[in-house]
Amino acid sequence: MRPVKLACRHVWKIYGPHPDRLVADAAGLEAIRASGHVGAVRDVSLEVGQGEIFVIMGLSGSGKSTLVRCLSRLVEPTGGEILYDGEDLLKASPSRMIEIRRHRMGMVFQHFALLPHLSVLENVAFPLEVQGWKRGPREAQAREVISLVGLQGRERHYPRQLSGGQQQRVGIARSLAIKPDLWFLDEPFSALDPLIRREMQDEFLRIQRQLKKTIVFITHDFDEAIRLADRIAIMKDGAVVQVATPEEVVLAPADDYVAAFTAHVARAKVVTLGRIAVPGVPEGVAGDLPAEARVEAVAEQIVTSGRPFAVIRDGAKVGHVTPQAVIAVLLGKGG
Amino acid sequence: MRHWHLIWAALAVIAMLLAFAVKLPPGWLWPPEAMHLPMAGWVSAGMKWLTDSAAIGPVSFKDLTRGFAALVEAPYDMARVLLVDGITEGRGRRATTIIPPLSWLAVTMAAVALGHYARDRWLGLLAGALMVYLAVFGQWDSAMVTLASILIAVPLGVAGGLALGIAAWRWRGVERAISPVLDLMQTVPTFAYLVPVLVLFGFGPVAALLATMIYAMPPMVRVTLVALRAVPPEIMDFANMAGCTPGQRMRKVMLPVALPDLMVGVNQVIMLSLNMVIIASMIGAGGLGKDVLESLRRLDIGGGIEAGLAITALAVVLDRLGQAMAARAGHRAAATGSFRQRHPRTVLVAAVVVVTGLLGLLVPAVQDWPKGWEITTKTFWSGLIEWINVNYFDQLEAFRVWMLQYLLSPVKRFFHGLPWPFMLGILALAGWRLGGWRLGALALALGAFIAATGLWEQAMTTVYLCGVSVLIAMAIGVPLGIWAASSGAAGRVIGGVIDTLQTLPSFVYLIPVVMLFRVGDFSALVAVVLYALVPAVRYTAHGLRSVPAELIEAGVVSGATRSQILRKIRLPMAVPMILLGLNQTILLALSMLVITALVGTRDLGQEVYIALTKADVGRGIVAGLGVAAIAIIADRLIGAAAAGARARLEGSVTPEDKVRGLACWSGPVKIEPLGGGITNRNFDVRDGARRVVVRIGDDIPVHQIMRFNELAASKAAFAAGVSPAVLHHESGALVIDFVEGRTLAAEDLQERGILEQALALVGRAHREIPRFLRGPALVFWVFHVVRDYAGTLRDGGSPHLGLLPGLLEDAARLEAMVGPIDLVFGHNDLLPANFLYDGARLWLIDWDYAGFNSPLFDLGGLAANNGLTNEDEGWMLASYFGRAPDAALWRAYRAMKAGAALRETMWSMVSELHSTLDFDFAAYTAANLETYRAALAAFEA
Repeated sequence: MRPVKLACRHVWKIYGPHPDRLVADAAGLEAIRASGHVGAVRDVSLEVGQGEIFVIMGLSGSGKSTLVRCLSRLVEPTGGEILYDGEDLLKASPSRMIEIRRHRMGMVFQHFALLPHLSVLENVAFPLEVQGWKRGPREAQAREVISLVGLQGRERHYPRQLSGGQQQRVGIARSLAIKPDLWFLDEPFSALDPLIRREMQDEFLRIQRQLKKTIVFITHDFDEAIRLADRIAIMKDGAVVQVATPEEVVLAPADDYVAAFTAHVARAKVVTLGRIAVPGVPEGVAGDLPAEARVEAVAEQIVTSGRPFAVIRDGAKVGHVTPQAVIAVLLGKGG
Repeated sequence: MRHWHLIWAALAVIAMLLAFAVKLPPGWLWPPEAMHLPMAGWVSAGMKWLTDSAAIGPVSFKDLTRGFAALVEAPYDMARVLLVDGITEGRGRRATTIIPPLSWLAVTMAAVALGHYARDRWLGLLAGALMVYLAVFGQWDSAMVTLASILIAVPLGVAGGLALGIAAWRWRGVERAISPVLDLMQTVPTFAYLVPVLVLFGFGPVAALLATMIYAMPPMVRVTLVALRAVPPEIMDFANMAGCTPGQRMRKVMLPVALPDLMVGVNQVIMLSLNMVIIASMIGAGGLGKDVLESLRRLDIGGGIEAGLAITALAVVLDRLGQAMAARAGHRAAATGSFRQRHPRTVLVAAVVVVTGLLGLLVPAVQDWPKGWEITTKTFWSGLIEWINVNYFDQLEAFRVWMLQYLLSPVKRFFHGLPWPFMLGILALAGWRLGGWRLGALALALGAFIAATGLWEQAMTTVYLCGVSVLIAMAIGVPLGIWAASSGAAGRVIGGVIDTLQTLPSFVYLIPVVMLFRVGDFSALVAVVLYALVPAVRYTAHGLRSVPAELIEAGVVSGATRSQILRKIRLPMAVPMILLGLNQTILLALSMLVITALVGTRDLGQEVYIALTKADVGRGIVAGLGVAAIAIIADRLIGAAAAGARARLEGSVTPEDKVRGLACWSGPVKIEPLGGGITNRNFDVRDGARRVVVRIGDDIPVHQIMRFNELAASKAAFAAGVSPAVLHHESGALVIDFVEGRTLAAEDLQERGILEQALALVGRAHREIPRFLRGPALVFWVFHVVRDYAGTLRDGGSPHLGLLPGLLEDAARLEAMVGPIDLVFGHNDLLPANFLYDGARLWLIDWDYAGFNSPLFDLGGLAANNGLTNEDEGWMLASYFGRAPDAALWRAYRAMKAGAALRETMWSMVSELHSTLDFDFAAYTAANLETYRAALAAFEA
């Protein structure tokens, strides 16, 4: 288990005339509605591990954007605790909060939120400028992250001269300029068309392999969630319905609501070799494969070889997978 | 409402009689002395207290104003040094120039460079040409004095407006406090500003500058507030996440992002400043305004026209540059290279400044345009006017006299002859008719204020002059607008002319008028008409152009001629817009009318003008507020009339308007129409974070839908836990809590699990609702409804009349078969879409048909509306009644079910006749008829 980087405990955000009373009573959805309030976030407790991609998934109105704004304290929660490296953000003074955001948090926005009057370079350097960095060092650092997202050569462009995908690359670069530990992405690819979205997801995974940030990623797209997540939290009506790995969510949905999302998901996309491995390593395996690998990624290799593969977890052989087991998953049966 | 036309006609006749035929005692003509409130005295006393004894701690108010003046004076002196005076040594005539001001070449070059920077070389050339014009025609020095004032007043006005706007954005209380003040400031005439400024700051350029600044500030405050509110919330979130302090967020993020919007406000400040800086020549602003004023006083025709043209040139330069800068804001292009490469124009202008400055010492022509080269057009203009006056005096005079005799004087006598209580009564009545009792009360109160000022006669003069001018302006402007809208070329020419007319400071209009018609009411009339013409033209053209294309096409395909389309389609549709134009015309006319005091009117403007010359604050402010009162009355009455006209055109108030107007919202709401309602319109409304459903619909007696009953049933259904909460209700509107979920389809209810839940819910409604029901309640007896529908169908001449006798016979047989009943409270409209599934449970919504009834009706409805099988029905009856259905129950049930289907069929037939909703009822009738026949067959089997 990874060490906990960010945790929230019993976080509430209720809009309406007397929100505190409802939090004190830990009121249910019905009671909140009946009293003319809106429960945007209801009693959410989560733990995000160091270096983890934690995806919060929900339909519009489920409270996921409010939750991420509570975590970053852009929205003041009605109650609860938000612990970042053990420090309760809700007890931080405004100046302490500015300090934390300046050095330890980054955020990417759905509609990019680029400043139209600044060039790419100035946009990316903006968070450093706010901290009072001199022009030389801040532009040097900005150039570094700009090349990380593959936009070198466009430093002097203005946002309006860039495509949507390029603009979001600027947004990503800007959020990384201060080298934050904690990285919030609020539906970063929702405003992009599907082809670009796929490309940006790959780009995002590449950057994360390199930087290993602790990530809270918001999306309404279940496919995106299972593609990117180490763990997924599914939200409905402001509450978290299930927190699990993509594999568990698909194989063991907590309720009908979750099942409705997972019904059409190809199992090979989420099932790992570890799950379908059987104990023992027979003679004449075709090779070794990691237990974390998803079936979809290695299916062709296993099936075309026609022989079993040994499965490795933490350096040790823990079992083997057969082509038959892989085919069963591809047909939507196993796992 | 025919009788209201008669009432208004009768009132008009009475007014005529009172004004012309009846001799009234003076106490009736204008309010007696005893009723006057000494408001002028109060204001003056307050002002005296302010200037003499008010103090904050050790700092007296006077010190404060002096300090303030000094603050403004320093930069103003700088600007004058730069543009007008240069740096001199010694005083008076012995002064010698050490460093000259910027040369005419340098300033012209700067204007060219600015034009080129802001748009293109053509704008640069225009700006340069107009500056050269000022030099050539000898207006340079005065123009530079005026420009110096503007250069200081605009940044100060913008900064002040920005600061107030930011404060209003930051603190709700500030916004609430300044909003009415801004409203008032924009209706009080320009002169009224001058009086208190004159008293506080004395006579001179600094006082004029302050008046200009204050006058030009309100639009900047409003624009700032709107622009800051328009900054996207994500950008705000970003600024916070980047760790901006509040100050950094405003400076580095919000203001730059809002810049393009803010520039629109800056342009307005520039134009208003120019207008005011000219008028402020009355309290000591020098420059072009002073030239005009002196020419007017000396009746120096040529000089006045020259100065007026110079003002026009300056106005055009400032307006075009300002607009180009506003359009350009936010479009910074990437630039690289050295300072010289990045700022070629700045470098060029700096070079010209230095070179001409040095060269000017040797060659004076470079510094100042030589006097000898100046072209004066004074004699030309004087000659022209004289020529006109010599050759056309008779015609002009005849026109003037004719207008005075047959238009102005009668109208004047009319307004002066009307007794004031009658006038107040008319105002209150008009306000009440157009906008309800609040508007009536407001009109009455403002009218009473005018009566209490003791300036009734002057106010009536203002009303009469304004009324006649507006009438003429509309008579000229509306046809021009029609013409502009009907032809592209005419539209461009007229548009260009009125754009230019609008940039001219109001003062300029006086010049030609006085030259041709001398002083008096008629001259004032002509100036006001010219000035107020612009909105009449513009709004008419806009209204005609924005008539939807389909409406015009509809006219074309029905064979209407061009003029028929204009008269019967475009003009009626444009009426609300033309009324708004009328409103603007009145406001402009009033603001100009005050200035025409200079040409000798005897109205409220004259009062303000006299107060100005005597520095009598109270008198000036009270008269100014009188003008504001007239403006507000006209604005609100015509605004209400325009809203009424719009509502009539759209059939009535739209349901969306009705939703927006409900009293339960905390601010502006977002409205999405919801499907599903046939007898009413449903909307999904977001009020801030709150989400509700609003049902809009009036009583529909032909369907026995009474909203009092629906309200009572909905409330009881909520109390019984069957339906979402009723949050608010008004006549014709019901606000219900939003339940996130989906409505069921017939297929859902065919599933036993869901049917079970639905049946439990219906049973709960049947038993529990009566426990919570309050007030009178309806009974829903389907056979009564069927008989009533038959009557309605006969009255309305339904196309289905042939079917009626057979259907009624069926109904009688069915009613007999139902026999004696249990009584429960039924929903009576169990369509699948009236069940809501939120993921956890079912809700039952839409209680418009609810009432006491046999349970068999809802059960039959549930089966009929959802296509339940015979087996489902057996199960349903067994589980509702707790015993297996015997033959008698089956018969009663089948009869009721057929009755329900019959009623649904006839409901649809009636709706064919009566509903205004956009729904294909004929098809619905056909489908229902089929369902009914199946039910009847099942009953008879």
